[in-house]
Amino acid sequence: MGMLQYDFMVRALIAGLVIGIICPALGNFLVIRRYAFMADAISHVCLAGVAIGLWLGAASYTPFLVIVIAVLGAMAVDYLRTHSSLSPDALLALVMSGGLALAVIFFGLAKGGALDITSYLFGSLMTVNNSDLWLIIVVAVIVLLFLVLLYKELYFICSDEQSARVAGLPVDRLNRVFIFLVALTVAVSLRVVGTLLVGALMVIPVLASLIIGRSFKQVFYYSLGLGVIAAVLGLVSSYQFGLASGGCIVLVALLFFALFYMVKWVRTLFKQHSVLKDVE
Amino acid sequence: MKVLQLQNIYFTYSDRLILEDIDLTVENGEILALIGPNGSGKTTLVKLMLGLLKLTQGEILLFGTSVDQFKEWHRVGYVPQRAEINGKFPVTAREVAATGRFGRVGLCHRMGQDDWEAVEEALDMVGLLSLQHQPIVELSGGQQQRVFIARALAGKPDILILDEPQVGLDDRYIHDFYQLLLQLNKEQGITVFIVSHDVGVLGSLANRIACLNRRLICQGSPQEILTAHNLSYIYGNDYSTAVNLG
Repeated sequence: MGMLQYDFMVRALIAGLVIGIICPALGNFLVIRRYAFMADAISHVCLAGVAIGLWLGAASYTPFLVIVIAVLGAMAVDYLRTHSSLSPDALLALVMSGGLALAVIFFGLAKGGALDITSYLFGSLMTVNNSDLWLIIVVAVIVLLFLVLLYKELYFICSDEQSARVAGLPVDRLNRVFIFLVALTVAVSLRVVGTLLVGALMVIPVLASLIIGRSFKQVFYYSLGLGVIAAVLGLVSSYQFGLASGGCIVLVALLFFALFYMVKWVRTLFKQHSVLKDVE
Repeated sequence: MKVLQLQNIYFTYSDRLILEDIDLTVENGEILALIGPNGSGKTTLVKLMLGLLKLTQGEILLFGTSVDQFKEWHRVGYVPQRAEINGKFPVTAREVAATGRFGRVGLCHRMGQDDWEAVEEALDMVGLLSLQHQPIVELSGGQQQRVFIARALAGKPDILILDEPQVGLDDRYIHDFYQLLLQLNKEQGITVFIVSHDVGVLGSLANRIACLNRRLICQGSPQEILTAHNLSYIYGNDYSTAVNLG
């Protein structure tokens, strides 16, 4: 518990706890609609925001720039989704490439600077300051409020959009709000998890929960629990071993995935064995 | 009362004319079956009726209101040919059927006791109440289709629009399914619009049959429509192998 005497660690743990809930919460709806790759695409677009911040020499405004760029990226995804015949993987690859290209150009133009790029790439315990923490909390409140009010509508739209339209749900408006919230969540989670791994925190707890869950509701709640456990254990191990926080958080989530996968595999083997035994 | 009115419908996709000059009315309490060969535009017509596609010309009225302005979608139960559900996600039969109730429950409102009872009643009607907590991926194709029928029924609709709902249903259940449609129509007064190839059964199920092949070829009572001459004209000379005359 010695780590709690450091303010930066307390901030990082609170931030980790919060994004450990909201990332998988939104990730469930991305996975069920086969858009698991979207968080990754937007997080890479966010790099352009980091690069522009570096180029402008405006380190203190960079988190807001990242949010603006993330929202623009999300709007591009939404526009292409509704106005083009591109498949989800193709349009996400298109937006991601555009974001990365911009990032590379602006990093080049900036020619070095005070901004710590690696903390944005891999996540860091030290860089979560008070304003980052407040930003994360505000976004989390908005996301959770949205989910509390519109959980059932979002579930319907993401699982069967056509039938949701026939039921009279405002599908296009809700889709836009949802994508906007994914962009906000990705943008504020970068400081803890890093650009390269924020998508993983949205998706891996959900994929692990898919192995043990027997309903959408179960998968949803299990994924929140796993997200929190992965964030806290990841941050603690990051502190203990001096490793990048994003990598530690995602590795813990992956360990749970591997554990559940193996347990299910062994159980299936036992079941098959007992069925064959009954036949004999 | 007219539940559904299609007036002078035209629909083009790119530079292709898919549907032309269609006038059709569905009266309250009747069962109307739409038949036609593959590619005749049946599913397109259903999607136009549901506002999923935009008309090129003409007007569609649902309960007297233009489909573009129609708001009471909870009055319409829809069973698609194939649902879009993600087969890898463990969603239960109960969770899928419940979505049929959302239109009635309204935005930002939670499902109440009455709503869950309606969902269970719908699952019971299709004989799946005992499997309601089973993930839908573990059900057979036919059972999955029955869940989607339950979803359409859960909202207690005034009209059921079914696009080849019998696809995937096993023979044992098909008879029960048509009986269920008749029962819903007779006892609850639900209007039924069904797209089907099952010509043998439609004779005893539908009040009226309409034949579509890009345009409305004919419409009338089953006795008037289901003649060998008409079926040959609609499906071609090999109609007897293409459809089940029962």
